[in-house]
Amino acid sequence: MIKYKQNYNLLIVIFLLSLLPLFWFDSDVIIAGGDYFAPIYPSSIINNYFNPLYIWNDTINTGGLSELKVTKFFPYLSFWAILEKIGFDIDTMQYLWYSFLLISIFSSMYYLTTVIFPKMSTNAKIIVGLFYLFHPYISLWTSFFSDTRIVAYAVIPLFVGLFIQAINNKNKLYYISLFLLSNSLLFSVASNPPTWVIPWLMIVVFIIYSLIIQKNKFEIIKYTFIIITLAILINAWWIYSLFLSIASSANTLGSEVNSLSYFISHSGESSILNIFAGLGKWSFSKGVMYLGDFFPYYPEYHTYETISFWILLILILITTIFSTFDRKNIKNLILPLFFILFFIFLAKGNQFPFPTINQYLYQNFPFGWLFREPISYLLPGVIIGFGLLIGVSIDYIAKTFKYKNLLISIILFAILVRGFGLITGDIFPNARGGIYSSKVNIPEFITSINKEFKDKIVSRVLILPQLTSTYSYWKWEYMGVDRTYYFINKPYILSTKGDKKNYIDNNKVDTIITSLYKSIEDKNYEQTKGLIQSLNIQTIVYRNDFQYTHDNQLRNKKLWAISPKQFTEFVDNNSDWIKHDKDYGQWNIYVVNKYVFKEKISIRGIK
Amino acid sequence: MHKIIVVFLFLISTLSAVENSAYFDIKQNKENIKVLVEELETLNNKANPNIKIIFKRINPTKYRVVLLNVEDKFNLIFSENFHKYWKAYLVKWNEQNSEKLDDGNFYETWFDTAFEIPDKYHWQVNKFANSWLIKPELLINKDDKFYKKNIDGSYNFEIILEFYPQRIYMGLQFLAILILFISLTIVVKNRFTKHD
Repeated sequence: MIKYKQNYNLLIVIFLLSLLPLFWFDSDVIIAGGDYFAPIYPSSIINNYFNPLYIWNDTINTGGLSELKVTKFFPYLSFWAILEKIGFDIDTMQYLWYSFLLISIFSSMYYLTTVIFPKMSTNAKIIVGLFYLFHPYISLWTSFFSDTRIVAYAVIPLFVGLFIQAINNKNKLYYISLFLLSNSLLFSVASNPPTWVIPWLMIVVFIIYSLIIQKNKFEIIKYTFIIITLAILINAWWIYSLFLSIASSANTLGSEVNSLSYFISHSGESSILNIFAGLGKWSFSKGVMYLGDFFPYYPEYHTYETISFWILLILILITTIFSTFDRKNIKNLILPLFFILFFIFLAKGNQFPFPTINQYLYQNFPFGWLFREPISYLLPGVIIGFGLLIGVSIDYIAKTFKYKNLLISIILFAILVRGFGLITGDIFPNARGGIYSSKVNIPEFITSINKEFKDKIVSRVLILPQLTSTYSYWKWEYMGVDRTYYFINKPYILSTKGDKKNYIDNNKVDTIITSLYKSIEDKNYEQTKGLIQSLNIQTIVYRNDFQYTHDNQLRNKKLWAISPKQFTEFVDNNSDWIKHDKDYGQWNIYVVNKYVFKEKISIRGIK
Repeated sequence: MHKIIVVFLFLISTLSAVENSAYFDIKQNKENIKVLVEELETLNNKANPNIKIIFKRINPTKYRVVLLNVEDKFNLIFSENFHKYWKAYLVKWNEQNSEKLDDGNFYETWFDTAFEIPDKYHWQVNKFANSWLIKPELLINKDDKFYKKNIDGSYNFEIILEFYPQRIYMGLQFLAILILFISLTIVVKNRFTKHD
């Protein structure tokens, strides 16, 4: 009867979680800002820019290796694309995505707890799941806006749980197969390699733990070898794509990021206590400067976090210590503590104790340099360890303490208060000062542009004005990465003036495109014509909704892209080969005369 | 089943492609080629006044190009970012392709039905694009199934431009799908036969 009641609780929690995103935003807005932009046309995005079928991508500038763009399609974009095919609108797709994410994060942690502590009560496991879900780490501005990290956060516990089952369960073939299938859930996470590595690091910790604790060492090694070999084969296709791009060009990240000084400066911003809390510099000190004011990435952090954090931490520590009085519990505490210690040590970076070990790993471990900001990647390991400890503590409280209901209620309350932003929707910041809201209204004309370009234009499209920074400003109150390609669905030419943060990987192409922009600015139209020919540009789009001036606060300078006036002058002076075609809202479309336009394949060279 | 066998044979095709490059027995150093490119800028129009190009983008890694009425050498420009693994293959002449280009099979350049134009004739132009030096006299000296001679003495050819690593990529994707499919079969079978 008790078990039935507890299962009932589980269903209620899942049901309530599924409703939660309804409170987050109004209809007709999409989540967009910073590095994130909801994939509003997922099917065409998969077909064009994140096509997993081909190792060469010809949609961006003059083409290049697909690199890790091939991995984005599953599960992230496929989820949206399936809903689009069914016929849902963007509002519903967005709601279902976040609803699915919340349930997945909770259920995944619930499953891992079940695997590690099969005898734990359902209510304790529910609280572990809620602790994991409502942890401020995912409420942070950077996490819920990162499709790779949030998917990883949802999949990691399931992935680790299935691996543990594959090693420990008697029905090995079944669980090995399930584990191999779960590898596909991490495909889209692979577009951010350090995030993809985290579940594997957790598996390493589990193997070390198993080799110390368990007797059947040979069997553990044997099955680990088989599973990892098969997992490598499943992932080999995108690993090949990644390695080919590394081998084909100098690494785009360059020496600045790779240097030890970068590691030292970026890993020292979060104290051990921050890491212990499962947070870091992103919540305490990071944000953006705008017009002289500082806007933290997570403005609600201080409102909800401080008191509840201490309540939780003290309660967990006390109950964990108490639970060691029961000898049976000591064994249960080992694996969570392994996770916590291992990941805190890696996440602390260049801080006490033994910073030289972290420095050595950063410099000498293969791809160790990827963890140049270790805390932002490695925290899920710490949080999972803490979550499991909470489960053990609650189970102990429920069996031992007289006022167990009161204590458990306080813990649950503290957990929910910590992640209050997730309940209210504050995780998606509203407009602050000069910073735009992350809930964006997409202008209607964008939809008609998408439809028009989908059917007609085939060759490359020149996008004007060029970008002025990694983050651009739009008159419909959006500030973030440029996602014009979501709308136009065709190969495009676009570069950026000013800060070039991994935007164009290929310097030689960037030079040509920059020359094209400069030739328009300098009124060197003969050169413009030649470059337009050699780049096979057939269509030119001028976006009047794009803010073509940009105040770069960090570098204290103002940047200008090609202004509407400059563009009009360019068109007027070259009316013999550029013709106005159509206007879509604030976007003006021009076409290049067929006698000037050059196809992608020709027999004429241009000096 | 036929396609499965083909996928497993893609490594063999790698060897055959290398072997085929010996078909073009030309000794020309890079300096000469550079000079030749300069000359070709003017040569193209004069030497091939009636040349016609038809091409089709089959996918981002494969283009079919039909060249009609070729009289003299020229350089074929492909305005996609230069990469040494972009390859040009001369394939069997198909009369129907002069009217409508088909997609063909994904393995049509893997075996001795295609000849790779050697890398020494592949270089960068326009600071980013690919270019191949195409010399009709070299293309016609082996087998008449690869070209058609027109009444006026000009030639028709069909060339496939292909990004070579796509073969390996496809093979690895096939492997991943195979393992995932077997895993799924085991899971489904297990669910129906055992109940935990």
